Amino acid sequence: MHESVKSVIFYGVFAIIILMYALIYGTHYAGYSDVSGQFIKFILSSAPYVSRDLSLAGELTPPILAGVMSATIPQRSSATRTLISFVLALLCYGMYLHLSVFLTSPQAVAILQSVNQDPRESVSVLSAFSGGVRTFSAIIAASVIGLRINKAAEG
Amino acid sequence: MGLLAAFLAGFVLLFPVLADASERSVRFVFMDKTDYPNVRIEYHDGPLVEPITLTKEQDGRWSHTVELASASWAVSPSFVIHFDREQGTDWPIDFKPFSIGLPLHITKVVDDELVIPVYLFTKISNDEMERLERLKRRDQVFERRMLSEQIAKHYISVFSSHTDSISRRAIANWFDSALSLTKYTDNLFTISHEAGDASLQAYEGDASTRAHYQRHVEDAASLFWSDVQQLNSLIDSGLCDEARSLVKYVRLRHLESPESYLYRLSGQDPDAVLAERERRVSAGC
Repeated sequence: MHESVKSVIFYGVFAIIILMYALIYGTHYAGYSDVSGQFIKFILSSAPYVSRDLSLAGELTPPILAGVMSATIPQRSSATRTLISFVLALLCYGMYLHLSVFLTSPQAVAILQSVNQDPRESVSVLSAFSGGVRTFSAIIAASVIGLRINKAAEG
Repeated sequence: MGLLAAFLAGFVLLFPVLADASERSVRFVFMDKTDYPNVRIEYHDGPLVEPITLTKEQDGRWSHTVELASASWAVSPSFVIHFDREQGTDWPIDFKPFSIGLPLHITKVVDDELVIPVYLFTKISNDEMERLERLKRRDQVFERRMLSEQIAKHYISVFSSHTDSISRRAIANWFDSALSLTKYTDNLFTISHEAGDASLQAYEGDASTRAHYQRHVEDAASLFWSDVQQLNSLIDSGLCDEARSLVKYVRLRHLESPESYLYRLSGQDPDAVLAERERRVSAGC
């Protein structure tokens, strides 16, 4: 695969992950909890199986996606690019760790109630989704380091 | 329950009659029969704060009647309902403790007993918010007024913000419901300071919306000046004591808030207006 295509896929996926975090938490933080609620509702309605807690699809999807994504990590020979990829993966991990904590807060419950979602059921699905993104980010971070070490070992 | 609520609301709203001041009272009737032990009502009249003990009626509803203090012309008490939910209490919704306030402006020409139906929120959702926003009829104003304030207070408390989009929508609903109740009861119920402040905070930075709310808040604060319009009918009815009390009351309130006339008298000198009314009472009585 051409390097530029890999970059587009790699950074594009992380951009989507960060955008999703911004739409869920960032909009609430900015005072637009109704937007946050509508996006959460969209996630809950569009990905009930992929993100369901303890389902086979829910457990396997993140590592499979991460495995595919590992092949698109760009510019493995560049230390700067490797560092950027690693920081990006860690950043996403941290964001979704924070999102998991936020989902247990009264604010998240109020947002879910405002869009007619059962808080208990919805928090479970969203937590699984958030956990999936964390698993995905962790595997990518590990892959970036691993590939770099291998490169160094080869060098 | 809807029929009873309509009857009670109609009783309050449609039949204001002349009555002796000493017989005036306010009766609260909880529309929900459920026993919510962490709801308290207080009667506030100036510095006086009196806790109210609810009693269970034969039909299972909780109620209480407050005898209003005898006043010269008008009393402006406030009823505060506290929601003091504690951990482990059986309530359909999780919420932090809050209070709602129901300020009144009761003159001598108001019914001898006001019946106020009390509604307690049991659900919070977009559907519930939309339902309340649609309650526009005269017999629905109490339900909308009570529940919309409770939901607004809940969101303000949870989000710690008046400007969050969800809080803002709930506050707008609260203020509109307070305005409707004021309109339908001919100013018997007034817009609370809290509703005014919350609305102004919610629309910080939106000058035109703030101006809309500000106008109604000022209107509510200068409400006592509108009582003056009743003077002629009192004199014509031979209610001279009431007429004298009215002028005295307005003069007293004018001293308390000397700028309120600006929103009601459209450029007239307030002292001249009061002096003219006093002359009219002297001539007519």
